[in-house]
Amino acid sequence: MADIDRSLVRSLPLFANMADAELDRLLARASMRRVTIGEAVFEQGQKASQFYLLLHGRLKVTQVTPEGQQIIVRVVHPGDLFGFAQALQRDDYPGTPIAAAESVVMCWPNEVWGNIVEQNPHLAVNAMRTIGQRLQEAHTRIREMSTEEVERRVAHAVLRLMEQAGRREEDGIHIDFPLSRQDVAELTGTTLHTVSRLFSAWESRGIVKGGRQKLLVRDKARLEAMADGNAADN
Amino acid sequence: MTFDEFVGQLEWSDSALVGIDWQQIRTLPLFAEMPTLELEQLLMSGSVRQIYTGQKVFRQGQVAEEFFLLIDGRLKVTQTTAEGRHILVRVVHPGDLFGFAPALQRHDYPGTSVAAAKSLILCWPNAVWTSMIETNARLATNAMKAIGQRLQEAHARIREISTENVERRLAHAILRLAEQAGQEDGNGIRLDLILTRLDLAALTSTTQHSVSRLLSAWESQGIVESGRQKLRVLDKARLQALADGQSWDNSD
Repeated sequence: MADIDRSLVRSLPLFANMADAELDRLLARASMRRVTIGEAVFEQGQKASQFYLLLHGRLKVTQVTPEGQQIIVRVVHPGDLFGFAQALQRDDYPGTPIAAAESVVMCWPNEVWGNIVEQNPHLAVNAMRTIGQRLQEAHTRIREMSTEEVERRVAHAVLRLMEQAGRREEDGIHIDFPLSRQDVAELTGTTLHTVSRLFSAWESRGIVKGGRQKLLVRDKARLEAMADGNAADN
Repeated sequence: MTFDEFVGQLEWSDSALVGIDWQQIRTLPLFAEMPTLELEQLLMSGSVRQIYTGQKVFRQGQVAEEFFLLIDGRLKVTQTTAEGRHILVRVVHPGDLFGFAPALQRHDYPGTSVAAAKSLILCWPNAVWTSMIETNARLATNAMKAIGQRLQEAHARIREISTENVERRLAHAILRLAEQAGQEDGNGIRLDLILTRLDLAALTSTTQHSVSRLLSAWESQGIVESGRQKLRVLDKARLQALADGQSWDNSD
């Protein structure tokens, strides 16, 4: 296997404060994999034997309940760790990450990760921070689901995606990966019907512009006002 | 000063500390496989505080200068939205870390922690934690696991809010509490938590009214026994079936 170039990952927060030599040692044990759109990196319930980092692209992590209902647990952005079942003290993966765009992932066998982390407190601290950020996001989502009307929740979810995956274009900010209305429904605990109804209303007011799997935020200020629960209707 | 001398001194100087089982603290998962010397150094650099029921350890929005470990008792962490609505973010059980804002890379506490029972906490200035964790990979890994478990719980809750009706969510929440804080005593599982119905509502994203209605129905079916701030699970199997969405109505 060809060596992985350090420059690919040097700037990631996960590897901050890690000596080059240590990072090289970690990379020497990593493998890389391309994941095409729609492909799963691993499946929910599968025995967790590896630890992953997304280098490029975008993944949706879904969970299916025993009754077959699906939710999106999180969206994985470049530089994010995922599949850290071991850190959660479980033996299987709790969800299925599916490529929403062409993606490249890096992975390590669990025991390699464990060994290297043991000798690299910085890596453990950084990993703890990234998991901590996931925790904050999860708490935000719980708060929104518990206290906000659907319209505000959806507005918050779109703003968050815009922040994490937005690309500025001439007529607004484009969410830079294929995102269906069903995805947004699964991210906000509502139905496809509700999301479609909201997007149509927002579109007619010039706040967003949608297409199949596409979303463009045209008026961020009004979307923010909506997320804050202020009616922006003049 | 050795650790034992330190502990001896603590117990003489502050009656609140009598009865702290330091040996047991050393066996917490957070400190698993930590070299003895470093663990003792960590414990010695913390301070112990006693918190009375209803007293707050920190407030939402307050600058985070310390982080905490619950030794004994029980805490609730609540968040208030800009509109003044409350949610119960988590229940803190003995052995849990809380107020770990620096680990989340934030400068203020995201919630308010209130003692639901008389509690003992251990606290460290953030700077101590940072230097300890950066030199001790074991501690860092253990802390990562602890935060990882909180994340799993949060994801379970998101899944439940998204896909389950109130009855199932409440059954799941009570089962989780029974697992973490329940005491079997021959007549079911006693939840020695001081959670009100309003707390249960805030924990399951519903109203106090719905919680009361469900608990009454379950009580009449012999599944739980509930009083003001008291809860006992009498029939765990049936509660589990409710959580799983199976109907247990044999009303023939």
